[in-house]
Amino acid sequence: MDLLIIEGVTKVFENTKAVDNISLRVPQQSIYGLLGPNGAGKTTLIRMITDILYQDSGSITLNGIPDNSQRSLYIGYMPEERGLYKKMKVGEQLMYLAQLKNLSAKQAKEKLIYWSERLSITDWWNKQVGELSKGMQQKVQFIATVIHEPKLIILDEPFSGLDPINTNLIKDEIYNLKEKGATILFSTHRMEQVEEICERIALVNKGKLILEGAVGELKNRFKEHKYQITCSETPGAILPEAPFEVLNQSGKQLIIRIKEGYHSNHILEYFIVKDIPVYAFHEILPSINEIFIAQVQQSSNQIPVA
Amino acid sequence: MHKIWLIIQREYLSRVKKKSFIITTLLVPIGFLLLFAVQFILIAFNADTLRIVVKDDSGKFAQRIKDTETLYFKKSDDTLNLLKLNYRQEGYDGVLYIPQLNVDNPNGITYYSDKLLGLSAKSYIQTEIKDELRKLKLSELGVDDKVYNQVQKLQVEISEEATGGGSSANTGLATAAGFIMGFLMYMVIFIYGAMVMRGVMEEKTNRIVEVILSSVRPFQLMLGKIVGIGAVGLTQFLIWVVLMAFINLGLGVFAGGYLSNMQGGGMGLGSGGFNAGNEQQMEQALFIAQSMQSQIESLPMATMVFGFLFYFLFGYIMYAALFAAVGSAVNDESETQSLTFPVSLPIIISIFILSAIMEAPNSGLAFWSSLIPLFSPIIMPFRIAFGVPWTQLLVSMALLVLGALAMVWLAAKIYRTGILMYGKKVTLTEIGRWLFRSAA
Repeated sequence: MDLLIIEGVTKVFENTKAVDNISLRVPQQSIYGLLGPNGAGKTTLIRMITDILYQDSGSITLNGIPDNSQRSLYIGYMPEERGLYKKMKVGEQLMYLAQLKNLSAKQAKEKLIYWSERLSITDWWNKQVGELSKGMQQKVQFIATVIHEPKLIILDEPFSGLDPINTNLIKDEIYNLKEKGATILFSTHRMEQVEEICERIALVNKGKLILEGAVGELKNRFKEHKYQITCSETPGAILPEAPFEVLNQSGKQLIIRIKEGYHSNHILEYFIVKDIPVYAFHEILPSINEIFIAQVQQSSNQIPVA
Repeated sequence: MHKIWLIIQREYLSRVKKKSFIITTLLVPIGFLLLFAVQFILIAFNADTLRIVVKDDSGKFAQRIKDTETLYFKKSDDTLNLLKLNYRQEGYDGVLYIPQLNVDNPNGITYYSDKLLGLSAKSYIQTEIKDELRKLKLSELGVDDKVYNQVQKLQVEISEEATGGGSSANTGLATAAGFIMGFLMYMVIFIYGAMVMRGVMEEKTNRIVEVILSSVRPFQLMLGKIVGIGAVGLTQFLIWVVLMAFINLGLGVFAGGYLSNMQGGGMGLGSGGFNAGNEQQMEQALFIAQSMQSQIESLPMATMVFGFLFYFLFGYIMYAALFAAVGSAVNDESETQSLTFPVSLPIIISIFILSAIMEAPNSGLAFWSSLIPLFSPIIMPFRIAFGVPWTQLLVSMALLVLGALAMVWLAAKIYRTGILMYGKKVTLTEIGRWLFRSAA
């Protein structure tokens, strides 16, 4: 079942289409990556999902209810530009933000105690946010995002400014929340994280959706039929009638591309016939980063700059 | 509604709990008290003594004019011309000449000096001589001193009451009170309006606004802030009013104590238990204070207090909304200058109008500007001190409420766009366009 369904959503600012007829579906209990270069329309799209902005056309359905004005209660949103009241105490601030999400004071307190212990910030309750380190502030911000147990958690660049320890801590919490049933929409332009964390991604550029799908499937779709082969000895010159061409060779290691009409076994067959033992043989799939760059460049070329 | 209430609470508590709030709230009445004390001390214990040599040809008055804390009299039998020549060398400030007086037509009393006598000294000497003249005249007519003293104590006071909202009689006091009210309003609108603007700007530059807006509507956030800060203002007023009342009460007790002390002193005058001059002076100071109090009581106090609160409330809401809009449109403090100007302009114009109508509180300018919502919060409280017909007051109040609502509505349109707009500097024309856009 899809938790979030976006259908034909468009948002126009002045004369530019910040979001142009985007449709996508975020499955329940998944980690979904929303990718795109700066200014692609990610933030505008997120703001419409969180009900901060209204779309000019199209519909946004959360949990089966289209354009529900109450849907912000089921969403936890951590914007890229983190923001807290600097002069407010950590405890008071989290209580306030939790109650704005319709938690009663008692519920808010319970959740606050739970999360404070979990992320070990209990000692900081009576400190002003401005006195905390950046990492600590991030933890507070993260708690503010998830304290009301939202069905949809939207994280905009959640790891920016975090040290490796805190990055892992937050990453674990994200997996943990997913296990408990939450769906995570994850906006970033850091691709290595996308590959590691996300199950599905959508690629946005200039307000348009240019790519959408499961990570593995996308990699497959954009594979360039490249393989890496390690032989036992340096192979001699590769004959022109071989079923592949060599892209790169360094000693015993070859990077090749299969010619049209052949498949992987034909490569092995070539080496068997030549009696050159093959130690390792695997397909090179494109990284999401490569797909991203290629697609962004391609879409930028196709759409003339207005 | 629940969320607006939460926002109001936060805005209110986060400010009221601040040290700076507590300090200013306590310091202002204390400053007021100090001002009053200094004034009182200046009147009561004026240290400069005026030394006057008295030439009394009638021989009846010189002993009657007693010394005070600030006046010293010395009787002399030298000729007037000699005294006029020598008084300076002998260390006196002037010569008071009292000729043989005709009780029915006392002419020719003269003070010779290179300096003016001063109002209070002059009136003191006049009163003393007049008093003695009366006694003389009455004893001539066969009236006993005791009877005279009883007659002296009789007092009549006329209280004034305005009819049909016309102006009450004490124009000077009404002008002063009205101007203070108008000016006070000008200050509080600026102070609390700027507080709203800074609050909005803080949320925007802190970026917390995006977190908050994923929970509440921009309008709720704006309104909650305006109401919360308004409540801070009202709290401050309330504390001031209560403290002032206590201070006033304390002063009353203090003055009352002095008065009874003095009466005791008066009875024991013969035994010299109390300094007579000091007593006179004190009596004068108290008389001034008492007459001021009774005059202040002649003002329409209830209407003034109510009017001030009402015009503060809605004037503040109207201007605070505008300041909130400005706060939402800028990126940092330096950008506020150019945008606060158009918002402050009507308030500043109001102050100009206020000084223009000081002399003519019932002029056409006063009438019209007290009806226009942008000006009325400052002009109407001024006019109320003179008494305003109820119909005018009601129309002005209704217009102000409408104006405030309209301004909140307009400001909300600017606010919801501006608060999410980062980076570029916004121009007035752009803000104008936001007003005419449909839902953001």
